[in-house]
Amino acid sequence: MSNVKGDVAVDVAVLEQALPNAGLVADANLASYAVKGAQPLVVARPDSIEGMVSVLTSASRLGAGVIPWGGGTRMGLGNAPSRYHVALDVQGLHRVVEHRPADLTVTVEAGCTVQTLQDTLRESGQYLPIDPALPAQATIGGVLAMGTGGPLSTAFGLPRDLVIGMQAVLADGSMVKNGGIVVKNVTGYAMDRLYIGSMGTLAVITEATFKVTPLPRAEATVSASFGSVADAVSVCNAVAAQGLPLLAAEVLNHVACTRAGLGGNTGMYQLFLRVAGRSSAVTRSVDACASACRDHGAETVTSMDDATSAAIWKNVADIGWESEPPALALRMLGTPAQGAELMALAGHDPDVSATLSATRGVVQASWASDATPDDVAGYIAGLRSSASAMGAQVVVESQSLLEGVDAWGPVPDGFAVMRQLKEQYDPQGLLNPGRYVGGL
Amino acid sequence: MVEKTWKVGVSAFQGQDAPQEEDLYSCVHCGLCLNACPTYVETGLETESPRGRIALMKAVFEGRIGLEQGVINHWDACLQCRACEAVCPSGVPYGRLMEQTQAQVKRQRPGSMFGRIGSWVAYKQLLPNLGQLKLLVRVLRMYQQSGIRRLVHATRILQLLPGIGEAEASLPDLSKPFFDAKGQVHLARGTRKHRVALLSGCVMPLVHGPTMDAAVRVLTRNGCEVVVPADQGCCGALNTHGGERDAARDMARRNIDTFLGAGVDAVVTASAGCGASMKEYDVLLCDDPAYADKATRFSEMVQDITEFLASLPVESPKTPLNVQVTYQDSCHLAHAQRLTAPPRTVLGAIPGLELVEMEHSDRCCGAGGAYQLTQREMSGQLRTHKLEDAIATGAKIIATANPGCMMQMELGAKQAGVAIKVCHVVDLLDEAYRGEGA
Amino acid sequence: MEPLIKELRQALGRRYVMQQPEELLVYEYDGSVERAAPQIVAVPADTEQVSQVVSVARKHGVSVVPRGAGTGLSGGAIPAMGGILMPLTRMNRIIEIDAEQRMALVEPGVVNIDISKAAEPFGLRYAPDPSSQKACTIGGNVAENAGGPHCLAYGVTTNHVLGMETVLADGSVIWVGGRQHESIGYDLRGVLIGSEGTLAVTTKVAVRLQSLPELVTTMLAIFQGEDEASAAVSAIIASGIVPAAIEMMDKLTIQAVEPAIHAGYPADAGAVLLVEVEGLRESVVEEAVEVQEICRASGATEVRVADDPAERERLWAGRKTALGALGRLAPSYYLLDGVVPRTRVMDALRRIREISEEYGLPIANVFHAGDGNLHPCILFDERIEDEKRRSKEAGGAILRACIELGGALSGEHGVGLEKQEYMDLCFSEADLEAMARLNPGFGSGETFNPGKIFPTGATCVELLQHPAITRLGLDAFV
Repeated sequence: MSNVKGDVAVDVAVLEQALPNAGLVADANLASYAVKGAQPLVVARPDSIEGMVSVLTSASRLGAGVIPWGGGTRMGLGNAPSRYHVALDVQGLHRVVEHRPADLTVTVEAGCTVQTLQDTLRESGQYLPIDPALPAQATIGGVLAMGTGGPLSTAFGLPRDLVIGMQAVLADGSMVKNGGIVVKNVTGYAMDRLYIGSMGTLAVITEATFKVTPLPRAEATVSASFGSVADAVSVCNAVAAQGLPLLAAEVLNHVACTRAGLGGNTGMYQLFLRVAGRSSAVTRSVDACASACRDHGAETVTSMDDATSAAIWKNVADIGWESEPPALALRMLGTPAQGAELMALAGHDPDVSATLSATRGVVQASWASDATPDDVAGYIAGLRSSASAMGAQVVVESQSLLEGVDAWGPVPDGFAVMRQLKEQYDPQGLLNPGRYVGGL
Repeated sequence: MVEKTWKVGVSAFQGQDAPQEEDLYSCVHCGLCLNACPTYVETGLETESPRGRIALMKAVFEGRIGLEQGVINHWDACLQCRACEAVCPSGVPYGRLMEQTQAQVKRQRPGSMFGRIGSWVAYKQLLPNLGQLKLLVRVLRMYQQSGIRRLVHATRILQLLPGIGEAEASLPDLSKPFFDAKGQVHLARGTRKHRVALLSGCVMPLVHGPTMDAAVRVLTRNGCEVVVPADQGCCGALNTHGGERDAARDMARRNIDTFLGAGVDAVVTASAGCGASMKEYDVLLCDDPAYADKATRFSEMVQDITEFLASLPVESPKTPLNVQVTYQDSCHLAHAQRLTAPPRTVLGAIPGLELVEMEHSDRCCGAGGAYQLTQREMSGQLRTHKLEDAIATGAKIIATANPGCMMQMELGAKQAGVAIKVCHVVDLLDEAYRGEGA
Repeated sequence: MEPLIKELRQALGRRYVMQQPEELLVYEYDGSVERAAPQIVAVPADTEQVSQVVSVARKHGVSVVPRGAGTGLSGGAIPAMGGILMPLTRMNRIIEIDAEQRMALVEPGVVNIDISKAAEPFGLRYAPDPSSQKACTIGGNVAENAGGPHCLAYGVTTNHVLGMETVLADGSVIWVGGRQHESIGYDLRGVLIGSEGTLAVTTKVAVRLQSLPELVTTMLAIFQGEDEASAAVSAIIASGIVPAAIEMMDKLTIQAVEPAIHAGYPADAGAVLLVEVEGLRESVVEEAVEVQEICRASGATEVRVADDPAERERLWAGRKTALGALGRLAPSYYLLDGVVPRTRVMDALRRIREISEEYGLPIANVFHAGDGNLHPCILFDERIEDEKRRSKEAGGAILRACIELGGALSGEHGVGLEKQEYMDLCFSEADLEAMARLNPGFGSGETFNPGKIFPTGATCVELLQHPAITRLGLDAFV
């Protein structure tokens, strides 16, 4: 990354002078914007796109390191910043710009919380099928910057699959957009795909347009207890093969169950299958799911109605983040066939809360602050070596700085291109410097 | 008249039988034909695709290139199976375009002395004069049956003549009895419901004589009186495909006169290629004032034997024929005549017969009339793939509806060393009828 | 040129490096109205050969244009600046179908429908179904981010591709995405899909497969006019039903289709709507009833319903042969791909009617009504210079109208050569600048498919100076 000349000259006074109109937050609690122990010099919270452009233009001129902030629920992701001058809080841009119910599309600013957006959409009987943890705090911009999926990704794909248009501000302060408000669009490069999941290292996402979905008329959840993860995964495969309207399929270890308030017996794995659609279809799907569970030797099978079902999934989405971000969390990424094996790897620790997105091969594991493994670095190195042998990755999320642990592990194929892209879009290395994959 | 400025030179297509502008430009190069074309599927090359071949015709028409050998080679690689025509959303008359293009080539680029003599013998002597063809086949049969063949093989003399050895090896089995068209009339079994004429054809009566006999029996069993006029000749399909349209016209006129004079309800053929060709006599003779109307009337009377039987409807044999059969769609039935259901209807009428469909049943087997001789390599590839698809069904019998396909697949089975029997759809129906009451 | 040819032949063999005029001529077009001939056609058989072609081309400073079956409608596969055209049609193996992980690994030259055919025995299919699915290749689909009628419910190519093996401009081979549903690092996969072959060459594709629906019901509703049909579309969407497909044909299309296939459309029919619902038997049955009720309430004079494959095929026949049937009305057609918000379809059709009158050319509409993806089809005669010019101008007017209605230039065909000069209607200089930085980001320079997507005022002049023109003569290109 290019070395910014005059880095030392970036101080509070310079910043305050350079950013007078950009919504600098007076008397900001800088500690609450700390990232892995590093604190910013100032906090900017612009309430307009112009303000956003102004902050980034000035920061770029000064060579100031900028870390975009949404609801702050996932700031433990990534490495420690190599430079951190400005905390750019995007929550000043929090409007639902336009919901077009008849078009099934919505345009929303990045700082809008997931909950606010869902509440707006629900008034028209619609929703955006994403379900991150802590939706009342998590922002749309944050969800997109992360790019990862939740339980609903089983049916709807990753957040990127729902985006049809995007506005963002590049590191040099230029405002750019792509896509639009139509559900099908191949006009020009899909720049949004580049920004989504880039953790704000290429551009700051300021607005996105999504395609939304009608709320299902009915839903239900089937839950069953298995002695092995593999059995639970087999049930999911069997259910998927029948073409049932499966919205989500998660396997929880007993710690996760307990923390979500969903019961759970030591040594057992609880499978939750969420189906939705017309009530006739839901009834039939519940029967089919229950029978698949029994065919695979499930000990108990219960099915739950509409209201109970929705409540369960709110809890499942929050696992590990019940009230606040966990001290340590791992996200293990494999193929769908590797899910059970990854779950077994993670589950060695008796204190870990672990969930597997069964048709997607993604395991989320977390530890409460008083229960993290003693030798975290050694523990993660061991996991990574097993995962690497399978071709899987382990992403580490932690609130504090973990010595000797890279958040991302080995760089992926195509990393040379990623570095070139970073050079193109953020040549000074100002956005989230050093925090992303391979130190980008 | 609005000026059209797209032509950049003088078209090398000249005179009679030139591809027509409306036909050429009905192709909007959408490419939907590609995957239907056997040579494109084999090579993956646009040069060997219907769209590419039409593009070359357009380029010649527009005066951008001449009738050079490099261009002609790509047209010659076309099987004229017309699978592209059947899937074309714009209704491009590909078969007509290619026949006319070949006629232009034949007239303007007669080729080498050797090739000219060969095509003169084939198109101007043997096919129009079936007596000569029969004589030739008799000689070949003698060669196969006497000790000469063994002697030839023992001396390896064929190795001295490149290409001839392979041709010799791919000769069909000529041991079967010939079928003769000598004006015979076969009476209907039971009440006569129809009177039909049967086309004897050129190669079929000599190579698949027993199938022709089966055709007669099957028709009479279904209440038809069958006449086999003596004055009929070859349908001229090979001449048309080879660009010899004038020779084909003479042959067409002779058949029209013969069959229209036979006082029949329909002209039936057991050869899909002949049926396709005769159904298009109206196009071939549209510029002949004396024959245009007669040709239209004749073409409307022509029916493939499976088409005719299925329309009766065909009588189910009373005794089952317990066999597994896979059906190969003959191109000139499936694509040129768009008949895929009738042969299956006929097979379906046979109790006990189980039809197991093969993959790509409507992809050309590579026979393509003279193609087997002129495009040996491609023909061989297609034959191999066809046999693979057929063998994969597990059926021990391949049924089809055209003599060229039968010979090609018999050769394929021989090469693959598998005991799979090749026959015509009517052979199976006939076998089932013959088992009745047994 | 000679050393270049020699090196290519060493890599691919003599037969698969072509440069005769008649060989280049058949590679100067795709499914669009544009054309330009390459200088060389090189047809590789595997990833290594692709890499070799790219390296040799780079060494000699020649560009490479990847090509699938050449069915595209925006000129994406046309070598606008000459150079090497590289069809990937020989790379057509289905390498693996993994039924349990619901994934297929295929080479780029595999024909779209062949993936579904191979997956069918496992009860699976590949969802995106462009109208050319019987001929177009998955590599081309990836390059253009292709759609199709059934993308209404399931999304387009990018939503179904897990990853690709890719050859970069320096000849190196990388995987972007893969069998995993989530991976770390920038989503290079998502950027390359729809990049129209300008950044890299796809040599293998891992696609997601989905279960075949238990029941499919197709409904064909006949309306007096387009407005009633459009209202029905809105009402269906508003009811909360998301059909697998909603397709519309206008009066002119109906008049072209009826003589071709004798579907039995009434002579006075003003619009035909095809609606398909699929999924679990219970919901399909209920949804089908509701859709029929909505259509009738919106003014449908007749609704035909089918749920067995042969009958459904018959209802679809008119839609599937529509373009061909329109091809019978005129020697050429210019098929556009503008898209508007689904609630503005009615306005868009009205504007298209006005444009048709203004430019004196018939324009038929057969399109994906459910997602607002219009396919206005301008009928003209390419041999008449004035008609050709008017068709292009009318096309421009339609695209402008789509933008004004809040839409975009292309829903599924891509920008290519066709729409590059209209890009500034949608995008600011900064937007285009940001897009242009992908090129150095991927290190592709002028290596892949130059002269596409971005507006270039200079295209014509550059083309005239191009060596391929001097070789074949200017007339070969116009």
